[in-house]
Amino acid sequence: MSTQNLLITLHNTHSSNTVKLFANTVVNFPHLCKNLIFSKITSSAASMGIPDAQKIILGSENPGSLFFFSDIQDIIEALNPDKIYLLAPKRFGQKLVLFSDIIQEIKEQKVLVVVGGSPSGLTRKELDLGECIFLEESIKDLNPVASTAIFLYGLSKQISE
Amino acid sequence: MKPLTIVDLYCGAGGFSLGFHLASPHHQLSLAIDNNNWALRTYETNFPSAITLNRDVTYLHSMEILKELNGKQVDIILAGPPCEAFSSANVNRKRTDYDRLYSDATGRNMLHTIRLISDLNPSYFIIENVQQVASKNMQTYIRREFSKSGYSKIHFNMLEALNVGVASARRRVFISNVEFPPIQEEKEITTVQHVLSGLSESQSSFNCLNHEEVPLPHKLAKKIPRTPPNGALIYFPGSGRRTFRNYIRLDSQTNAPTVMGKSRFIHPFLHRLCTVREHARLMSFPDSFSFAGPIVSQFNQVGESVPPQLSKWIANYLTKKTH
Repeated sequence: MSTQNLLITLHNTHSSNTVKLFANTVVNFPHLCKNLIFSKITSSAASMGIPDAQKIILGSENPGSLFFFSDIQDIIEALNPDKIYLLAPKRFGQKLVLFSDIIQEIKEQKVLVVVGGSPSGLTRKELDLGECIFLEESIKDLNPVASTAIFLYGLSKQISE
Repeated sequence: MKPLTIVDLYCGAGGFSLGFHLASPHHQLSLAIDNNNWALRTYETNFPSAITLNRDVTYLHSMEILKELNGKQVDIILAGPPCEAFSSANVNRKRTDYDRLYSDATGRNMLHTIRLISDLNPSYFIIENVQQVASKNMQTYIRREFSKSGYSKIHFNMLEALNVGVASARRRVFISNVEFPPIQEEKEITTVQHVLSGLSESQSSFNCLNHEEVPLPHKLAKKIPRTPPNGALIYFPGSGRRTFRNYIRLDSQTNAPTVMGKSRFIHPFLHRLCTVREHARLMSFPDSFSFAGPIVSQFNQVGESVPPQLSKWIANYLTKKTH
């Protein structure tokens, strides 16, 4: 399984702390993804968070690249993923995430997973860009870093099983 | 003709909505959102048929709005996001336009408004704010955000409330996908004396809703008899070394200064502060419109409104345009 195939993205945040924590979370799963991707990062998240994230990824065991886009459309254009998932709370998510399916997909295809960093999550137009998935029936609203951690842990556990 | 569905974001007391309500029965005030309890109570009292939602717009998703409207298409979005981040009266506002819009949590309400407009895709939208939002840099940022959302042409319409017969000065920008023509100026301005007439003036016979005496600290009260028209009791610093005034004695023969949430005016003839009703009249609210909550909140609700007369002018123009 190529670690280049899972493209996990944090989209739309102004918080430098969220960017830093997201980077820290993703680099803790080097067997799943190598690159850090951000889009629509504004304010202190752009001026302070991105340099911190850069430092984190360069200091990781298996350093990858950091990509910084202005919108999700740009990621799709530049990285051309085969499959797009948008991680959302259950009230917007159409389908429960199936880790086994995603593991199968990332063996052969480029899979983009977008996590919304804004307090209101991803917009309706953004949710229409791909398949909208939710983590668990019982989980209501989680912050983007926690959602990313649960998602990557779920995939990781599936691989070890 | 099918009534037009209106959503009012940051509705406050409902001044913006009231103008649309007065302009045409075809405007159906469907949903009003705010996170200020008392303002929402005022809205509910005056517009009993509208659905109100006590929510912070920052956390509100467009799908929740559609759910409240049972999937009905939104025709018009009105919004008055908080202006503190942009206003020159705020001594603590951030230094650059970029920071005011993107770094200031209050300023980001503008971005959340754009987000919801983009998702709900109404036929018309009108965002009211202070004129500083129309600065060159701010226009560039806001246009860029709208353009990403699919609205390539937006207009920064500068409208002055005095020109539609409101008795207080209020120059505001109305960001919209509609370009409003300049308002034909009234030949004569509406004076303070004209709008305050008919209200009982003696302290023992306040005869109208929200027309109650406003308590004043003794230190300020004793200065009132010596304060001439246009004189003020308090001076305070604003942004960029500007000085602002409060507790201003109104001049009966001209218009009042801008009514803000924290504004207090001294009656032009009596040695007392103006009541909430008098402020409401300066802002063109009819006497039948009641304000709920403690007196400080009532003053805020009036001062943070869009003057209904101005909103009515906008609504009339939109109605003409849609026909």
